[in-house]
Amino acid sequence: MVGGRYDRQIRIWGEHGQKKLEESKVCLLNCGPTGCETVKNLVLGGIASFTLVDKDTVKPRDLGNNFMLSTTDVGESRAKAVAAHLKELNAAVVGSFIDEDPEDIVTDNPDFFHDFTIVIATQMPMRTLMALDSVCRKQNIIMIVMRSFGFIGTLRLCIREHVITDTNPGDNIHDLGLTQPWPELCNFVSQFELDTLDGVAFKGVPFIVLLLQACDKWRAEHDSKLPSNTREQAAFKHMLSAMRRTHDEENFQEALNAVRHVCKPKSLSPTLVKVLEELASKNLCQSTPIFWFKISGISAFLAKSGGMMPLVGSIPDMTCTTDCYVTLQRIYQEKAASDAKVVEHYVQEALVRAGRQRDEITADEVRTFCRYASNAAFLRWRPLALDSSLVREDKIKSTSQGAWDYPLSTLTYLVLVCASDAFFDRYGRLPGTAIDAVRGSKDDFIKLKTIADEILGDHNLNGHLLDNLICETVRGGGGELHAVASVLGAIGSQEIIKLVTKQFVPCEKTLIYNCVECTTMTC
Amino acid sequence: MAPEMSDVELAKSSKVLMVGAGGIGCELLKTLVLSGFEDIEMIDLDTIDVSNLNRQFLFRKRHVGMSKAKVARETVLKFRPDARIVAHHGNVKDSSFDVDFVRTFDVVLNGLDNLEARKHVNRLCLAAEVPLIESGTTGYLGQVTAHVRGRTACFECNPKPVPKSHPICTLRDTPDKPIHCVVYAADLLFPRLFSADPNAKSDLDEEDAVELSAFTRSPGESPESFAVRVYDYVFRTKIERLLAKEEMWADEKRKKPTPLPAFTELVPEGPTAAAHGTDGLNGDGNNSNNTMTSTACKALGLRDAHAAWTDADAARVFVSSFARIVARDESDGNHGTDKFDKDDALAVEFVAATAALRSANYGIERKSLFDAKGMAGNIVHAVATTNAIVGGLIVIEALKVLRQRKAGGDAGGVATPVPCAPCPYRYTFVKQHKSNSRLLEPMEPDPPNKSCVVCGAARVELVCDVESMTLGRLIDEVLKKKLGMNAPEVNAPETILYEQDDGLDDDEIEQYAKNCKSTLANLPAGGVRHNTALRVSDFTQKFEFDLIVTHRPGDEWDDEEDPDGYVLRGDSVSAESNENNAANGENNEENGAVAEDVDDCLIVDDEDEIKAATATAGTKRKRDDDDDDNDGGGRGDAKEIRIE
Repeated sequence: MVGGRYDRQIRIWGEHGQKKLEESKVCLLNCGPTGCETVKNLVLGGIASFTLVDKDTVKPRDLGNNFMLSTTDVGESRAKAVAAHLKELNAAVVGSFIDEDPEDIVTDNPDFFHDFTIVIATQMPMRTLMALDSVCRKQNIIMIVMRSFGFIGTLRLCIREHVITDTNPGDNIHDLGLTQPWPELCNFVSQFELDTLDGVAFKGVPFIVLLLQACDKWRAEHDSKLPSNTREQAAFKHMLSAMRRTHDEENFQEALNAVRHVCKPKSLSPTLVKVLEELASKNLCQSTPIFWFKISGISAFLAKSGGMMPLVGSIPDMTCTTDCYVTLQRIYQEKAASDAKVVEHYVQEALVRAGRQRDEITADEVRTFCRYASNAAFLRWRPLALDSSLVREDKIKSTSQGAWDYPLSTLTYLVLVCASDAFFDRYGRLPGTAIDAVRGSKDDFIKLKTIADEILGDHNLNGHLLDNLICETVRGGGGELHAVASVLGAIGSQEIIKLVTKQFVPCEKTLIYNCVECTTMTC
Repeated sequence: MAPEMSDVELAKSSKVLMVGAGGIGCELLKTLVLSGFEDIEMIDLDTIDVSNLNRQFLFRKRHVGMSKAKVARETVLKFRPDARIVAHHGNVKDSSFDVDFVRTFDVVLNGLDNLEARKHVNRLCLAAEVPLIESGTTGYLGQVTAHVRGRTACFECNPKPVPKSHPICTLRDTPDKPIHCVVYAADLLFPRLFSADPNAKSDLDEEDAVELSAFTRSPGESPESFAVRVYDYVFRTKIERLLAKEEMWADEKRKKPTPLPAFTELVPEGPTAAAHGTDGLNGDGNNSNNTMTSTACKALGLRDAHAAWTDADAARVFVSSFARIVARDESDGNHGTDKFDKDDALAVEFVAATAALRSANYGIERKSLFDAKGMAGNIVHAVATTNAIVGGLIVIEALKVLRQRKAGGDAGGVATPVPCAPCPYRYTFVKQHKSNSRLLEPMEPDPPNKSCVVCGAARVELVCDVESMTLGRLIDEVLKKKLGMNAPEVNAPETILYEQDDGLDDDEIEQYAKNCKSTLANLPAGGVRHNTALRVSDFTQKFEFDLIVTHRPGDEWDDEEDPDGYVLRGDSVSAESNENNAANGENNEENGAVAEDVDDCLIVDDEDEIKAATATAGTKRKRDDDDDDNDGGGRGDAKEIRIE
């Protein structure tokens, strides 16, 4: 039954991804709609547990934008009420709550966060976030900062180091290892005597055989070299075509489409190259995550194979008899297994060198890793503290000036977000959240405009933010709009899932969502 | 501060229709209610399945088997007792949801899972002049588009491919098309029975433990006894059990299935004789195991691959191919066959036989072995996050549309206090963003396509052999299936050839039935021949157009190139056949490009739609196999259409 509930998502991130999600312990700071929507999606996905931290009680106006609260909850602890509703979504998820001010916990009890895999900080002032960032960073806890105000939502991930085992690039072209065929494959290929085959059998020769036989022929005529440049590849294709008997042999068409496989080995993905560079700067030791040992195994393999990745072992569908297909499949799977064995050996050596146990990693894990290794990646996020000052300053200075009119530029939003951050830090609340709504919004308009002008002035930028942009920010700021919170929460939970499953590439910069324009921008 | 209506006031004063209460629908309903909408009606014919629970958050385990629309309403009312929500458990194509019904709404929001219903709603909205917001998701990808008559392209201004995927619940419980039976056979039953991993989870395993043993061979059981046992379970016991679920058949339009007779009744000579036919089961030590030899059809003397089998023959082929696959896998050293492979003759036979028997259960047109082989399709992967993004985007888009509408159409002014480009509407694409690239990709909507067959003035050309094309086929395959019509009426210059209406007299009914069986050339009033212009209309969709017939004699057709035996041309329908051609001619690189470049892709369906039992990360490579395969026609990416 459990398989039934998660079936559709396992189709995206696999059982191994689902397992990681089911081990995740999530902490949410502030139970506004943005945070609640984020956790809702994660509870549906099947995380291990959630802990909600919020100091407020449920007000009637909370019902206007937060679906995780019902009319009967008014006056109750907001964290408690939300926790009860969230638990209903998935009985497998453990939930708890704490009625405290998240900001107090950051200041007074930072060790509290050590228990979590993920900390979701919503609607919090920048200075508290910076403190929280350094707490999470020490423990390499995944932290995600979200804020929605008016028609804008912002999201920023803060993780010291993140490794991705499978970026899911979507262009997984089979690595058939045809540039360096191994003895078993060569034996198989040489069994086919094309000239002696009848018409039906001829059309049933796998394209891999056709290609490799053509290669032999080419090598014999070209000084044992493979076709390298475009001209030679064209000549090679021509040669291959000349081997045809008619023009409707699908196996030949497949061979022609796959000529690149024999011409040069598949190049390493840029993300993997970065990972290997990072490895070079690392000293593998007791505390190094196991990922890096696996990568060191791959690195040693590459050194020995002359740049060929361990074979994945799968082959594409092709026109051929079932017998041939099954045999080819077996040859590829055996080669993949033996490549993985070699990698495993290197990984064990590296573990022993670092003074660790040889059996810290299983043969199965290495095999799985080899499958996805070519899609590995490594990321780092800079501390939040650096965001607010010099990095953004660089960004602002490098952007052309005078871009204040419609369509609004990234720079406009950046200034607006910075101004809102500064407003929050200065007044302890977001613009538009004054208690006296009418007079307050006029005041906030002036305050926000002043701050925006200060920021512009600080950076020697001419011009002003458009008044109605500021006006709209103040107008919307009074509450998190559910439609914005819902979208931002969804994006947030999606980023968390990417991080937890170590699949797909998460957002490296600050993401700004603008619900009016339906855009997301990063800076 | 702004003098205009606030979004909340706008929402309060608007009446919205939601079509679909699934993955997108749940998110949408929640966000509508929390954005101030108070007058909401929704339609959904589906019932809740356990696999919905990872994202359709208004449903709990105890709701499995109940109406999605009704449960969604009840759950929301628990949180917001003052919301006014009307839930219709029914089909949007039902005549009670007609143009007049649609006209009572300010905007229609689609969260549908099939193209036919989408086309139907599009036509209703065009006729009722009510704006439509369309949406779809698959995995991490999604899109929201706004369609406002006269202002933007309608949903059908850009051609859509025939979707190659189907909702699991339809496949498993309520098939109504041949393809549902074929996909059930190839993608559900086949792997469930023959997978190398006997513990592999399957969509057929949701009910109870009985199912598990039903599909597992008992120790010492002969392959043919096992096959017969599965036959009796799938085509009898299981159907009887479905019939017992009354909620499922509450909709009168939904045809109830009939259980087939027990195998021994249907096939008098018994399982062993049927399994062997004239042939040894294992090829009798003949080791030239080519897949072309020793097939069930050959052994049973069923030579015509284009003929539809009788129930008895289908049952024979079922047991025979089944037993042969079991025997083959056994002799291969117990390797199973994980996946249907169109080049595996036994697998094709098994699928064709299963599909034929299932068609017999559900009274669906029976496909031949040849046809069944050609029809292989692919459940979409689905996750809460994408649906939530899309649900939010729909509401934002709806507010923009409503603001324009309330302002008296195109007042030319800006849509919101924060203006954007001259046209406020957007097509928004949700992408699986990589770092530094955009997650959301907004686009200016396309203008209406003047030559759109639905909202424009296109003429459609049908190229066919008028000596062999029957009116019935024209109606079922071309008008209903390809053009998404509900109740087509066909007029020749001199006479009415076909109409559907409750008020017809007996003579008319008889004449139309006769016409349906007739070839085009033999129809009354001189027949339909080269260059005949037919007027085709659908009153329920307020949709009509001219269909020009171009004759091409039967011997000029190439089965490979145009397996349908007809070609439909017209500015907004032509790409359909082009799409097919492109799929056939695609090589790996082009496939790669499509997968990479999602900017201009339109995802047509809601999550449940795509059948792709192959998209898990764990079997990623296999999915790529499909992409490499020309006939796959982009199985893996079946949801994405390039917009020209």
